[in-house]
Amino acid sequence: MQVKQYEQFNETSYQTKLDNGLTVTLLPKAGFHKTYAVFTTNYGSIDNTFVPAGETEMRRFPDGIAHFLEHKMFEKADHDAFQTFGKYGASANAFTSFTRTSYLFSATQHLRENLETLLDFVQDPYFTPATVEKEKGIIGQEIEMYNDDPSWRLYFGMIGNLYPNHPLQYDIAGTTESIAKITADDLYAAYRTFYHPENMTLFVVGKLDPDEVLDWVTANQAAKHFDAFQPIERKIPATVTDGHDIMPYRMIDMPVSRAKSIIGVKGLAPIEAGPAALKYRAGVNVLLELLFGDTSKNYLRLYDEGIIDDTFGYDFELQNGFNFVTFSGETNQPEKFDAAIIAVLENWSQAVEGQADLLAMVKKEMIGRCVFMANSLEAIANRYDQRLFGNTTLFDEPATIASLTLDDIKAIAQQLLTSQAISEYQIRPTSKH
Amino acid sequence: MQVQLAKGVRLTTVTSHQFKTNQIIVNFRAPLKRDEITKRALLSNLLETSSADYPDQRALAHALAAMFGAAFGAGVSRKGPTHSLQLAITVPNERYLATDQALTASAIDFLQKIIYRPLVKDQQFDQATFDRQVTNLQASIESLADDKQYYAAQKLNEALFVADAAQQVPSFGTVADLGTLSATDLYAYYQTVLATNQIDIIVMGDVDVEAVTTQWRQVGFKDRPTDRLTAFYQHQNTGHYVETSEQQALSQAKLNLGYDLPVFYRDNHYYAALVFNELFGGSPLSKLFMNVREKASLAYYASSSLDTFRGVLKVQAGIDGKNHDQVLQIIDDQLTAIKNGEFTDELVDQLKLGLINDFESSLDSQRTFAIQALIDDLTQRQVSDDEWLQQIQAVTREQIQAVAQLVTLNDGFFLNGGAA
Repeated sequence: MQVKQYEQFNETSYQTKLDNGLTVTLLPKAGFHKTYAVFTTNYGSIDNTFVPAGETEMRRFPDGIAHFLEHKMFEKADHDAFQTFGKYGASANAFTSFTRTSYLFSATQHLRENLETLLDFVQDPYFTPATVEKEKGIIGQEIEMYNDDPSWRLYFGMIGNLYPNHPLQYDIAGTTESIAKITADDLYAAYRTFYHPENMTLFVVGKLDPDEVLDWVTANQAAKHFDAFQPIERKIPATVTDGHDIMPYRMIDMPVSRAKSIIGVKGLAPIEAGPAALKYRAGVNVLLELLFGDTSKNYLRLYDEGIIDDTFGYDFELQNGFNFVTFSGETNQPEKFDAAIIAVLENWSQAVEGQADLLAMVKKEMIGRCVFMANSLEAIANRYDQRLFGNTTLFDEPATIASLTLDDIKAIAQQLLTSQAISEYQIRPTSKH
Repeated sequence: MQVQLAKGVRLTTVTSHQFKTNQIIVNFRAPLKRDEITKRALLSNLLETSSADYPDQRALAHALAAMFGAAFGAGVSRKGPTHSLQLAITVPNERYLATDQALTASAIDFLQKIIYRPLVKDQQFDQATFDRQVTNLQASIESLADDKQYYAAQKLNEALFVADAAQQVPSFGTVADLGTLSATDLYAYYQTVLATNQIDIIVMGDVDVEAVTTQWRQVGFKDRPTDRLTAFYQHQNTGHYVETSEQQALSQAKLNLGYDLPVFYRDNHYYAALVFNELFGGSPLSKLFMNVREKASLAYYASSSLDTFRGVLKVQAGIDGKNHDQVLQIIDDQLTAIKNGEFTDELVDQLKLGLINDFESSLDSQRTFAIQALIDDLTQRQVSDDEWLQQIQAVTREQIQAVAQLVTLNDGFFLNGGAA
């Protein structure tokens, strides 16, 4: 086991790779009552075209299959995994993102039984035509619910603008039409391709003894057979580096009380995985704070002018193979909102040049936020993404933030904030009758 | 540890090494009054965004950033017949940072400035700030109608408490009220809040209790007129079901049901009611989840929740509108099944384990301690962690059936989809 001490935080992480390829990370938290475990595969909604394990040709699968598979994992021939977790007092859940599917539980007791339940249910697929059909009704309802959510529509509207020829544009759950085509055979093909231990990680944090937990997990995994890992071939369109595919503007009508607007900026340059990605994420977040954070002059000016209000927010999404920034808010004047945000982006140097003092303050704030997150088992576990950030954890972030210079921030802004990478999307209220 | 700083002003300090942050909460509690609800909501917005020392949001944000990104917020909430206006700040513990700043003392000083030095000129809140916060609060109340789950829950709440306007309106007030408020009246009302509301100060973390107490004593709190507030509101059982409905252009319909259930926080039936709710719709093992969602594939969500400060039980489901009658019938069948004892002992044991898991897990959140301290002060029904666990373990199946017998369906709100 690799042991890493974080002295400033008084925390220690333990990491190892098992014989079958599974990477296991353990992080004990003194004084906590709960243990939180996340079992993740590097397989998400954008992986809809791949060479299935044991085959040689690329195949296109229905949109929403990764999420559908996540739902179906819980159901077995004679029981439901939720019931097994229930028997041991755990609360369990799962979620699918663009690039990952995670299964998790949290429990204050029966840690061994719950860990074995987690590993066993995810590593024991059971799909039949009948159970697959039944799930279509449930997921159909989930899709309908998201269709009524204006914030969700706004966000995916923007992704559609930025990535018109990329599977990112499809809703993570797919559509009612696409999931209708999913079969049990499709689920098995996806399962065999992406659920090999070599493509998975287990992160356990909270009340735990690392040696004991590692023994349990090792014994559990050693008792199972896995075929040799076949490197995964996925077809993901490359980012168009001059941004000519980006749709600059779209809008829709919805029954909302106020208009909503979102501005997107697509990262056109590839980001190298590992510590460089961690530094890039921290750098972009610092840049956004300097431009639009509540400590910035822009924020106060736009707030006092009534262009933005408390609904304003921004977000940087960095995942394997793509990254983009979004700025969104409710507004009575979407054109004015968009113009004001874009003006700040195009004149970024005014908010960055010579702002060493503000940079120091923003870094202080971001380092403090890492201390906040250290209280949350969920934050510690969910920030871990081996494929993107290597084996770094939350506790590596303060040093990364501290290392950022104004020149680093300027270099990022120069590269990221180019006019051809910017796009607008709006939701206008349907006129009342 | 608790000390009384004046009559009706309590300081509770909870020391723990578990968390890497320290949290300070100041809670102003008053009897819930219809004409004060919106005033208190607007006050919380004003206090959150300005003060004499930090006249605009940027100045305030700089003060917080200088405390290593301290998290500060203000908000309002209703519990039974009481209303709370609450300010909270959380700061990192210095020992996890390369600094010699005394962050906890700075945070308490910051809160005291926010409370006692508001942005005021000539006995009124700064007019520009007041106007902006009125606009913002109005926009945020109006936008809530876009959240259909919230909207349906609020419509049900109006139906359930038709006899009491203060219980009907949301804890953050109404747009209509906002139009009637002025910067002068609101400042006068704030003086009343400071002088008469019950104040609870809760400090949680790895702190020096003596230093914290001294710092709060320096405020010089005055006695309040009363020492305790009524903790519970009794919902009136109508004895029969009335459903109201509305149609909007939505793809998913919502069905919300309200039941009378005269069980109150930590009274005779309380622990059995907690297990009953888990069995009915409060957990993924529940009857509603298994039968409405999983078996009949009729809904994306179907769950129940208890309000033991007002004596009601609520069910909410997101459904396909055409299945309304079937869903209503299945929900009713689940209640009947519980009354008839149609559930296994094994399931009851699992539900108890789940409740215990939730309870123990909540001890890993710093905020839990403050929430519990506030409830303990309000209800004076404090129990130890061990006693809580024993009470849950002791619940019998007969007690669960007895709780089900107390449940009466009163009101429903059906938000149907399709064309508006």
